[in-house]
Order: sequence, then structure tokens, then C-alpha cells
Amino acid sequence: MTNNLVEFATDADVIFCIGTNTSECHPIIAMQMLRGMKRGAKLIVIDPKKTDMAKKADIFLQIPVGANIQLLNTIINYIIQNDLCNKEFIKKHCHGFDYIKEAVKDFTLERLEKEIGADPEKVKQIAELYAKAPASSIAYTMGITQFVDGTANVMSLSNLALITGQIGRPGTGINPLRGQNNVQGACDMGALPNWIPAGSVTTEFAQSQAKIVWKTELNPQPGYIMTDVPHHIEEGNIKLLYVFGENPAMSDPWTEHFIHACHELETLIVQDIFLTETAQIADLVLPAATWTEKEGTFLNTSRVVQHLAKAVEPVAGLEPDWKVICNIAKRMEIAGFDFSKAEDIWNEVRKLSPNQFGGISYERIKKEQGLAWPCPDENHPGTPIQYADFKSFLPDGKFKIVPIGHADDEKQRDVFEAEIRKKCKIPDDYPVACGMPSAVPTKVYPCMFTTGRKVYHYHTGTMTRECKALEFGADIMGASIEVSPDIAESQDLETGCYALVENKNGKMVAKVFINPDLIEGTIFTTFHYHEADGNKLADASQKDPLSGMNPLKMSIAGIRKISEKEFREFRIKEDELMHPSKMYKTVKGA
Amino acid sequence: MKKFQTVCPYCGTGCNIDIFVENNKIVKAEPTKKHPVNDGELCLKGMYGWEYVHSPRRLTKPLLRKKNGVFSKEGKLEEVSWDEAYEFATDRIKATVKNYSPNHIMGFSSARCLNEDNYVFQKLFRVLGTNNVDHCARL
Amino acid sequence: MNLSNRINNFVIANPEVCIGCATCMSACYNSAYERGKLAVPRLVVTRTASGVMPNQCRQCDDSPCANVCPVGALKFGGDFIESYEEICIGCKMCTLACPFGAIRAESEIMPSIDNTIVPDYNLGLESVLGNKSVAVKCDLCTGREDGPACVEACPTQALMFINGSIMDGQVVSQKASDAVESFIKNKTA
Repeated sequence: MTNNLVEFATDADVIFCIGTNTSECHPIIAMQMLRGMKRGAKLIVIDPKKTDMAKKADIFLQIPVGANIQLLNTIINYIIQNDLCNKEFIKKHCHGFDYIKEAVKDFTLERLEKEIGADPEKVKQIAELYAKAPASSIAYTMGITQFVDGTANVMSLSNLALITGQIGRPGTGINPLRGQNNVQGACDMGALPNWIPAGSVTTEFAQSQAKIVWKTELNPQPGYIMTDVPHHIEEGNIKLLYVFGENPAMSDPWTEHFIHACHELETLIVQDIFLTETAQIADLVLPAATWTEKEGTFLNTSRVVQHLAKAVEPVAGLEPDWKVICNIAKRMEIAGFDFSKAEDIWNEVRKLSPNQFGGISYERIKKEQGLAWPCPDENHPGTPIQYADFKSFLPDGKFKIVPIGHADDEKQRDVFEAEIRKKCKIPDDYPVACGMPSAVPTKVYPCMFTTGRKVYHYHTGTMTRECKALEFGADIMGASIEVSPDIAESQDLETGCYALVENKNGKMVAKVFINPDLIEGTIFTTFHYHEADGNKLADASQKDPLSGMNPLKMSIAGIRKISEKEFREFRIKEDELMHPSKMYKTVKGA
Repeated sequence: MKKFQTVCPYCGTGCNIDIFVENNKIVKAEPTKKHPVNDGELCLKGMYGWEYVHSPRRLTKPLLRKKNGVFSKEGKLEEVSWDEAYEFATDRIKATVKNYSPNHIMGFSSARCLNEDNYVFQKLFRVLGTNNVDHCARL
Repeated sequence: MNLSNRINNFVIANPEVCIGCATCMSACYNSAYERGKLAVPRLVVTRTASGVMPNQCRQCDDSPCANVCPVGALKFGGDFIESYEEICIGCKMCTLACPFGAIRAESEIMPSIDNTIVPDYNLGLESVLGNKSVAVKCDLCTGREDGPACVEACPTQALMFINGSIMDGQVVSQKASDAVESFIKNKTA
């Protein structure tokens, strides 16, 4: 997030939520937004699902899955055409305004209405509200990113914020609500194939920092990205996979492919707190201490480093993850892993990335209830609002507005990118992007298939399903397939019957729940339940060209009613695949 | 009953939680009062999502896939000593690096673990000479 | 009228600020579990086309459920409708009688039951469970020191505990005088 999440409550005049089911996925952020609304802030919600926040919104626009760019380009075009831009901000701080003007010029309200059925009046209201308000804040989550054009979606949002100058001040900014407690931290700590805490592995600074602090030559070649891993395993490029604190056998798209690929590895090491679905196919499983059993830090969505105290002694004398890894390193006689406590590690991070973390000490975050990076020295107050000086991280300090188009397929995408480069004389090193759908319903698979979370569970449920108040208290629905009423009618489904959803990637079965909040032609399910994992059907063959993200939110599928007998048989077979270890069978007689 | 301030392990909001401990067992969780992030409120996962810490199904010993007492792909996961587990892990990593290249190993780190855990994990891979580290945030 | 009024206590949610986060359901489950009641939530977050809020027993003063219960498992108490789950016979008449859909026939999944060993629970196949059902409804967390757990847990203060005995004085007459005041002001202005 460029800003702090509390600003929703205290500063924002307009909260622009797109592709986020905030009240289910981030209830406390939703609470802060409600506080803002009580103060008088207006709430705009754009989503394929009529979420609980949508029902409270001042304006709710229901759009089909994956129609973000068409909508955002139309809003941007309307803002430009109606002179709602912040001209001073654009002139002083931005590149590329002419490019975007050209890219969006055909995105009219009429065209949008024809293509996705969006009410032009509502789109106008959204554009005016967002552009005119003193402080407008954008909030988004996976409904923006988990597409083949996820990066283009995000750049569209940044375009919107830049042309209206809604950035760098309290209550503005572009705010991805992080889905996991330490996404920000894991990225900042360098758990990325192209990044160490000191920056991109290709930069001189990172290279020299690695030499000084790690006393090692940093490989300048970025590594494999996660979504390519099953492919690389099959090609023989990866022989050993070490997974820690993650359950990719359930969380990766097209899970069957991942599980299949893992059998071709020479070694699969899994380090976790439970015998997860991934651990069950591992060669070596290493247990580790869990949350509250170890001291350390998390980085929350507002880039705030927060301290976690150790509250209980680890079960069975287990050691924290970092210690297990250090033990391995020491046995391999690798220097630089002699940490005796978590704070020592953090202090090395501060040395490696002084501009970002230099001033953030354990002592300070405990006393000051967290500090937001960048915080270069002990006297620096931290940076809750980024770009407050309206300067970007680029060498000339200016922001780039990226021209973004929309195409029907990859071929057209390339055509658009080449044409706009030529037409506007865009230099080769200037980014250009284009959105496109990754799947269009067919006769065989006539429904849109999308996934999401439920408030009472978390991801693959490894932790939350062990908690009675969540599993038996709040979750009274269990695994289910939610369908829009039109699908229910055409497929003769009723709430409570069993159904099978399938596409070329996989199949899943569960009880049906007819959900009138879903947009026409859509099936929704979660990835919390091993017995009905929506990620099985996710498309892993397509990727965002920049981030490598698979379109988890956009697949196509067919659905049909099945009998209780078929349902049981399927579940038993399914269990064989997910739980090969006898200890963890979940179905009797399997 | 002792009180410890910690941060919720679920979504990215970063709510602060006061954990109350008795006899080395968590007995309840309460929102940290007047904290800038969550201001004395919590959702259900923060308030009740700690029970897994004391689950009897937690892993407590390393497991190695074995058949007839030795490692085998066709074997079943069996409890082994930490010594044996570490030896297996280090041998396999070393052998892969030696027989193929550092780029033939890959690590999945975790957005659910500490900064310190992530840092050490990626450092190990980098020091071994590869940038093959990624984590679930990409998804 | 001089008859002594019977106005029960009750819990109700304000849908304007409820975000449907179900924290109340977990709190309810936990309270029931701790008090040795059937460990199921007694309020259910209910979504409709217009909004979301938890739905639970209104503690009706002349409650159809207590009137219809053949064994006295649901009974007029001092200031709410008491429920005695241990003597419920599972006849489900209260479920039919309740105009709010606030009483459910539930059977508990015993906390000691391990999903992985007793797999049918995990399959969600009610037909093979074979547990006797019991009528459960909100009992205002009777026996819990701090009152209803849901009210305490709600992060947006959507849930309120209304004390029937002071309702007249604090809620009704206050609103009445506010309304009259603003009416007169508007008229004379």
C-alpha cells in the first residue's frame, strides 16, 4: 500500500474498491472503511459479486469477471474528455499522458455498455466522484491481480490515480490489501527470484551489498518463477525442491499437474507445522515451531514492520524455521548462518538494505507499535505515506503513465502494443501493456469459474480447520459450489444438491448453493477445503507476461448435478490423491 | 496468566493481538487496545484462530520416506532423528548442486512465516549460487 | 394500564454496520462450548439481496416456541425464553413455530471427534450421521459473566444487547421525546 490502512477511516473522502471482497477477506480493514463512511466518505464498489460491502456502497457496479481494463480505460477516458484531470500534477510529475490519451480514446461509455452491460450513468458517477474528491483512495486485491492481464490491471489503477493526482497525500494512493500476513515481508526479504533485500539481483547495489554483507558473489541471473516450476521439473531443470510454510499441492493452480510433477523430483523437502497435502508427497518432512512459539517480525499491508513476541515454548522442543535452515547451512559448512536469535537476523537485514530498514530496530518497533519503511536511520519517523514528495523511485523522479489497451487474444495484444508504440513514438524501454481475457465460455464449458475466500477459513485451511470455533462455529456451510441463479435454472440445480464442476484442468464435487449475489453465468468456489479445492480447475497454461501470474480468478467450466452415490465415490477417489499417507485418510474405507 | 503482544498470522491487515498464556498453553486472545491498526477490535480468525498451535496433529518429529530402513521413493514416511534428517537434507542439496548445478535446486518460501525465516531461507539459496527462490505471493 | 409489563431482554444486530464477518458465530460457538451447551452457533449470519446481519432469537414476550414446546425444553423465564437442551425431544415444532427462523434443529459434532478418523462428518452427509437433533436458540449466554459473547466480539459494534426492563425508560421514551421535540421545533420555526 502506498498509504496506511487507517487512512480509510481518518482521511479518505472516496474509497474506490475494485476486485476486493473486503469484509470477508479483511474484516478489520472493512471496519476502518465503515468508520470512514460514518465520517462521510463515499464508498464505490466494483466487483462481479454483490459483496457485503457492495450492499453498503454508495455506488455498486457489477461487472463480469475480467472486465477491469475495459471499465478502467472508460473511466480514464471520461475523466480526460471531461477535463477532470489534475493537469498540474500530470505536467509536473508524470510522463506519458499523450500515450494514455491515445490508448483510451475508443473506450466510450456506449461501447462499455454494449460490451459488458455497465450502466453509463453509474460509470460517470464513479469517474466524477473519484476524480473530484479531495482525497480518493483505491483498494484492490486478487480480483485485480489474478488474471493473465493482472499487471496491466494494476497499471490501469495507477494510471487512474496519476491523471487525477490522487497519490502522495493522506487518504489517497493505490492500496493492494495484502492477503497474507507477511506477503510484503516475504517480498522485501528477497523471497523472489529477482530480488534480495537490497534490490533487484541485476543491480550493482545489490551485487555489492551481497559481497559486503554476505561475502558472496550474487548470481545476476534471476531464478525461476513459481508458476513455471512444474514445467521446469518436467523438463529436468529442477531436481530438488525445498518447500517451507506453504501447501502448493492445494494452493497452486491446476494442482494435479503440480502433484504429478513432484513425483519426478529427485528430492522434495517440506518444512511445515502440519502434514499438509504437500508434505504427504515429500521425501523429507521437517517440523518447525509455529506462530507464538517464536519471536520475530511481520510486515503488514501498510509496509509496517511489527514485532511478535514469543508466547509459548514450542511443542516437542521444535526450533523456529530460521533455525532449522541455519542448522542445514551449518552442516553444509556455509558461513554466515551463526544467528543466535531473530534480532540478529533482522540486524543483518538492516545492514543489507540500510535505505529501507536501517532505522527500524526491534527496540523501536516494540516501543512505537511498528514502523513503516523506508526508514533509513534511527531518527527517521518512518514513511506511512509513500510519494509524499510526489517523486517516484525512477531516476528522474517522475511517474510513468502506461498506455494500456484491450484485446481479444494474444495476437491482437501484440498488434496493439506494436501499433501504439509506432503511433505515439514510444521508446522501447517505456512500458506498454494490454489486457485480454484468458478464457471465453464455450459450448462444452459454458460457465465462468472463479475462486475466492470465505471469512471463516484461510487459504488451504491447514491452520483454521484445526480451530473449532472457526470450523464448527462460523463455517456452517462447509465446502460448497456457489452458482448464479441462471446456471441453477438451466442445469436444474437446487441449493443442497450435489454437483460436479469440471474443465480441462480438473474436477471437483461439492454441495450446491444458489447465490443471487453472483453475476450471471458464474460459478464461485473456495480453495479452503482439500475435499473440494477450486484451484484444481484453475488454468495454469496461461500467464501474465510480466508477473507470471496464472488466471486463478478466470477459468471456464461446466457443471452438472450428480447423485449422492457419485459424490461419495468421487470423494473417496479424491482422497487417495490428496492424502496418500494412511495416517491422514479422511474417508472411511479408502 | 501472562500476556504477550503479537501480530495476527492470517491476512495482511496486521492486527495486534494480546495472547494470554497459562501453563505454556494459550487460553485466550484479545485485541490489543488502542493499537493504531485494529483499535481494540479483531475478526474471528484473530480471536479464535490460535487453537491449531496446540493441535495434537502438529508435526513433532522429522519424517523420511523409507522402505526396509533406507530412503526409497517407494517407501512410506517414517519418523527419524533430527540428525538423520539434517544429514539427508544436506547430502541431497550438496549432491544436486554437485551433480547438476546450483540452479537445479528451487525453494518455495512462505508469506506466512517471519521476515527472519524468509530472509535466512533466501540467503541459503543465494549463497549456494542460485536465485531460484519464490513464494506464494505470486499467486 | 397498570399491569406489570413483561419485556424480555434480547440481542439484535444493526444491518447498517454489520459486515458479515461471522465473528459473532465463532464467539457464540465458543461460549456455548465453554458453558457446556451444545457447541453450535445460535446465531447465523444471513445474507440477502439487500444486506447482511446475524439472525437470532428475538426472545418474544409471548413466544410461539415456548407455547408449542410439549416438554418444557423452551420455557418462559424471568426475562427471556429459557432453553433446556437436555430435555429436548427433537420434535421440531418450535422450529416451525418460530416466525424468525431463529431456532434450528442441530446435532453437535463432538469436539473430541477427529475429522480424520470419523470421516463421515467431513463428508457433510447428514443422512449418515444419525445423531439426535436438539433445538438450539440464543440463550443470551446464560451463565456467562460478561453477557452475550457475540455483542462483546463484534468488531463493528453491530450487535446490541437490549435490556427489556429499561427499554421503556431509555429507548422508547427517549426516542419519543426526541421526536416530539423536533416536531415542535420544526412547527414553530
